[in-house]
Amino acid sequence: MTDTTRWRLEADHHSCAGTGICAGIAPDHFQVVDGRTVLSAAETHPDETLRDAVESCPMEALRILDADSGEVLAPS
Amino acid sequence: MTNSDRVHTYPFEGQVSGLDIHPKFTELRETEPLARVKLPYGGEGWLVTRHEDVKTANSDPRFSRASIGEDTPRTTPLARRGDAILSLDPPEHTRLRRLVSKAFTARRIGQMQSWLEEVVAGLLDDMARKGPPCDLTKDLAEPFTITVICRLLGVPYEDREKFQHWSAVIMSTTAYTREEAVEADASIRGYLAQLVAARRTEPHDDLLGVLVAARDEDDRLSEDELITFGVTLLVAGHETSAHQLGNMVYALLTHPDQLALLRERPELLPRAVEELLRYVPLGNGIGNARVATEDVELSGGTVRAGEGVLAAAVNANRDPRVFADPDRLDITREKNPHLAFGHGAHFCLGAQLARMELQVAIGSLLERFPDVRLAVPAEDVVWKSGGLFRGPQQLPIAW
Repeated sequence: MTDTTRWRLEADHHSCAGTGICAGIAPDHFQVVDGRTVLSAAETHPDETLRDAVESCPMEALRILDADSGEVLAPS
Repeated sequence: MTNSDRVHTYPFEGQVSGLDIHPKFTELRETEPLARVKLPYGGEGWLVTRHEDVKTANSDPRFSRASIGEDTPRTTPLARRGDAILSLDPPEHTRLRRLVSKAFTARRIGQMQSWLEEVVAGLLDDMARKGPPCDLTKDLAEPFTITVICRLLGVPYEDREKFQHWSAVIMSTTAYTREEAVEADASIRGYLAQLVAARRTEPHDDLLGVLVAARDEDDRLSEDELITFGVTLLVAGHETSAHQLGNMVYALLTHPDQLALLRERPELLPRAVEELLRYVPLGNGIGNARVATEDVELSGGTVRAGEGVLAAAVNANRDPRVFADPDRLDITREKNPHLAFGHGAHFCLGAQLARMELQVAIGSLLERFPDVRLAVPAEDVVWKSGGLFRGPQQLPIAW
């Protein structure tokens, strides 16, 4: 992965159950507002903490995509 | 302003019975939202009772589980091991949680629905054959939830009496001594170690097998962490939902209007289970402490770095600031941000499984025995005591 790679984040508000797991794992990227997850930024540098948060969502409401290619990088 | 000159000793004076909540919690929520309490072990800490504060204490990274120790206030003789998933903060916590979290997604649990329905149907068949009265605890709640966790984890169902006993001792507050708890902890760890060893001679397609592979192939957790995780999944996996199923059925059978409504409108089941999760106090109202790693402002004042905070869902779930008429069981309640599964990084790993178990068991029970009722007067139901969880010792039902 090169330094120029950017990740795009997506949160599906219909599936989000507001568990707060993502915000607990990666507080810089997520916060829960009115029972739903809100992203701090739609695009970020690659960050494994972010991947942990996305992979830990029991509702599978979060996704990481390669910002250029649109390839889904997580959840696996 | 600080209330630190006043210390409330817990357990509070006066017993509460069944699913009642001690009035002191309700009182403190209004008069002392940050209340100094002294617990039987580990000394003093702060009790928070408002929804907002409980949520913050559960999810704000400045409240740490990894910082708890022997001197952190608690109600159990034995402090929780430092290598348990419940005792870790991210990223260590996340490392362990991710090893099994895929098995507990809503999608994966959804795929188990028909199997759960089969297990419950079999148990209801047995009850029908035996005829009323039956004991909901021993005839449905325990065998159902234990069957499920045994299958998921890969623990032989035949061993249930042994591990049920060890669990009860470990989860006790006053029912057993510290020495008994130490012994039970050693026994259940030895038992898990045997199951782990079996997976090293022959791979198994179960959660214990997944954990063993994560250790042996990828070194993603230590041997102690592996055993502790197995114990946690086994204990948490059946104690909570077995107790809560008994409590919920009791709550429904003692609220005939809500029971009738649910029978009439079975489509309310998911909402009813959420309301029961909010309304039914599984725990004693104290919960497990976290320790502030820096000063944190809560609605009742400041928690200083190094101090312990007790933030139980039971209290948040009855906060009138969030729930209209909070002491009323209302299965049609629409907005229900209860904290029964916690909030934040430690949000219950098994929440989706628990929801599914509770929905399937309650739904099937009412469908199979539409006239289900208590077989004894409500006040004669005997409740467990001296443990972290409430639950009926027996729940005799007829139909």
